[in-house]
Amino acid sequence: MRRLITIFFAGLLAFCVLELTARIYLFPQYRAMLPDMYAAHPVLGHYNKPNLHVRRYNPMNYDVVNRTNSLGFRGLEKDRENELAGIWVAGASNTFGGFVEDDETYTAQLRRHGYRAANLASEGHGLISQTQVIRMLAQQGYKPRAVLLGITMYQAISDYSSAGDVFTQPIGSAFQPAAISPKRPRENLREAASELLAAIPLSLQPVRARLLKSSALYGWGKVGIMGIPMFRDWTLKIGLRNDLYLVRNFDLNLLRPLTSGNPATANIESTARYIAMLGDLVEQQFNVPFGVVLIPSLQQIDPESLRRFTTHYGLTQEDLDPSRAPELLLASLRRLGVSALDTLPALKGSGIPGPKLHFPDDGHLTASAHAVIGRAIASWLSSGMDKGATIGRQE
Amino acid sequence: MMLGIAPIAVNSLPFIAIAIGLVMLAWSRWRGAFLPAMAVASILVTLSWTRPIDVLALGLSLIPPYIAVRFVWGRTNFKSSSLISLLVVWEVLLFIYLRKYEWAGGLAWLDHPIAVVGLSYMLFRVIHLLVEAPSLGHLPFSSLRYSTYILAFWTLLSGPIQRYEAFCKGLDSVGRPETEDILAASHRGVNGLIKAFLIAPVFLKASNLEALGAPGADWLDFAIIFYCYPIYLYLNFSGYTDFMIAIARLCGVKTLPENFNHPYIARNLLDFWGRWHISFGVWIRTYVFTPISTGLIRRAPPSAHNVLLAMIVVTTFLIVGAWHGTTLNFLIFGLLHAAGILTTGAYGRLLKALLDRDARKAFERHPLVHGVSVLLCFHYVAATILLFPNSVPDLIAAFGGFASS
Repeated sequence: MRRLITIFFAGLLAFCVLELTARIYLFPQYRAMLPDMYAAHPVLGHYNKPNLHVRRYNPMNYDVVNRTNSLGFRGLEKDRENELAGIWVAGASNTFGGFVEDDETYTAQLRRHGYRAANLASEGHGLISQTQVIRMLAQQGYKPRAVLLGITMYQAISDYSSAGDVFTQPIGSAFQPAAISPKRPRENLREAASELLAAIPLSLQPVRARLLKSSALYGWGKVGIMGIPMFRDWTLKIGLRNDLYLVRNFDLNLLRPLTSGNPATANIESTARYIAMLGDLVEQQFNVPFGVVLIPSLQQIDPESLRRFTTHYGLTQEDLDPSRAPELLLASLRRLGVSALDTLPALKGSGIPGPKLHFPDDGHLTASAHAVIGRAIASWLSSGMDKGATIGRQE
Repeated sequence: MMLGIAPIAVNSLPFIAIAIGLVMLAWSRWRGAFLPAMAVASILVTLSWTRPIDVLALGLSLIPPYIAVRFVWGRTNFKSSSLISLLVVWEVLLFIYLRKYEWAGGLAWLDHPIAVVGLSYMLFRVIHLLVEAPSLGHLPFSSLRYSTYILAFWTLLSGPIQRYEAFCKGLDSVGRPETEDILAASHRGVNGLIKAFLIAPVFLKASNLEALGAPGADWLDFAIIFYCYPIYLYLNFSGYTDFMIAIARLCGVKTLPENFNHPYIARNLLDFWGRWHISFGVWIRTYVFTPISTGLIRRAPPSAHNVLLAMIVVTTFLIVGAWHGTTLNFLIFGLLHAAGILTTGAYGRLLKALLDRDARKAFERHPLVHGVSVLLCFHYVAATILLFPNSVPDLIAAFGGFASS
């Protein structure tokens, strides 16, 4: 018994020492893997935390710092007003550029080409929430020189037929609950007790998330190990790491022939109509140019990914084409009078190999891709955004 | 922070590592190095909580007493008490200044950014050493022992308040306890962690006074507000103490004093203070109540004894209140407890006048009387403890609003 007790305490001590060593030397980046970046927002539901300064780390992928200004927009506080007086760029994760440095996002790259621009995007935001951001800024008295909407294929495509209210209802009402009344003490007690019970994990998922946030040893074993080249293939083989090319996070119908019977066709039309309404809003509110920046999908910029995907899922006999949806969306937008820039030609023409345009374990754009897109947008702005609405350079 | 690391909290991995490291050292053949290791661990924990300016304040608070204690250590014939008195006054004034008492408004112009954790407990240990130094000559004293005693990581943040004799005795007994003692200490430590960090927060969340203003709040909600904070405080504080006592016992140190003995089943407030934060109660009695009462009552005529005693009780409990917190609320807490103690005394005298010794004992032991006493005492204490997290106006507004709804 004495021996068992000694072994137990020695084991516990060894674990503590190992964990502390891992925190200090082996994997001090463990805190940067799941940083706490979002906060409840009175108008937007959830949004980037203001005045953020967090490191984001994923070995062999990225190691960057994300900063936000006091309004939660990507960038530095000192540039806030200047940027908001320039071009507004709305969008989701690729526009926010969480895995590249602040000055590497395509929005920030515009500055190098003489355009000041504010990055309104937030990871997890969609067209509706970004519409609210634009309306909120309008209500606060800000006015842009132009508004751009960055759309990554195929995430934004959806059925927006019931979203028309977003343009007319009071700002934030789509997200704000009714006036919050204080909870009764018994409800607080019940909630606190439930939280305590909820801390008892019923599945492995919450345990993993907690371990990833709080243990450098686990974090290294799960993620840090991938930074060692000889272990990378092994981690993929044993399932520790997802194969990016096999992730099924899009509607396959968008790659199929877009006939009238394909539900994706209606969704693309609905998306185009929603974007056109957003363009109308920009016109009415600010009377400035509005345009869409189409960011290609992983399958478009890296054809190998589609080949691997179809082979893995036995879809080689299917007629799948990753450019169908963006082409139809572009055509629909232009038909509705919305300026749109497809950045795929610029990316393909950049000479950068497809796999270098996105991160190896993550489909988001790399700094190189952001630079190409920034250049393409600047050129598009100066050439009149297809409609002769030339936006002059500021600096 | 001084070391550029996060403060080492009790429920953090570095704290657990330090604690288990010391336990393993105490069990090993190198246990002779326990004192220096304990000193390093304690200084490390302290520095993790302090900034350079805090260390400066700590130096001002700890170095002069060390020099004085060193000077008078074991000198039983040391006559001049003015040096000790001067240093005690210095310590108390510095403490008042550093704590930034809300009611010491006159010192507002001396505002400062210093925040030293564990200062209240250090004050107790320093005063104890200053007062007792001449009579402690039979015990070893060195800068290493002094710093370890004052900053001991297991008593740094929330006690218990250990006497120097017990500290030295504990160091002498460092080693591997019997298996039963190890299991008992481990059990107590885990229970302590569960009480302090898992169960207590549930009651804390439920004690939010504002919730009493929620529509439909009824007497059950009132009861939840009334009972939850006292329950939280007890679970948190006693759980923490259990954990610390457990670590010490695993190291073979059995002299860390107990702090709680079922305080909420006390029969009256006198009984309560013998069960709640016991080491604090003993310290206050030894270094505040007894010296003042002995000194004053000896000089006063017998007819003034009762009034004088009442005034000393009130003064003592004002100090108790002020030690617990920096706002006016805590002074009110002290006054209410003084009133409770005086009432208990008056009630005892009344019983004495009405009943002979045996009848009185039988009356007090009657289950009904005992039960009612316990209930009354608990509710009085619970009501006063509500002053810890809430201001008087907030309490009046919340309870008044509830009563009128």
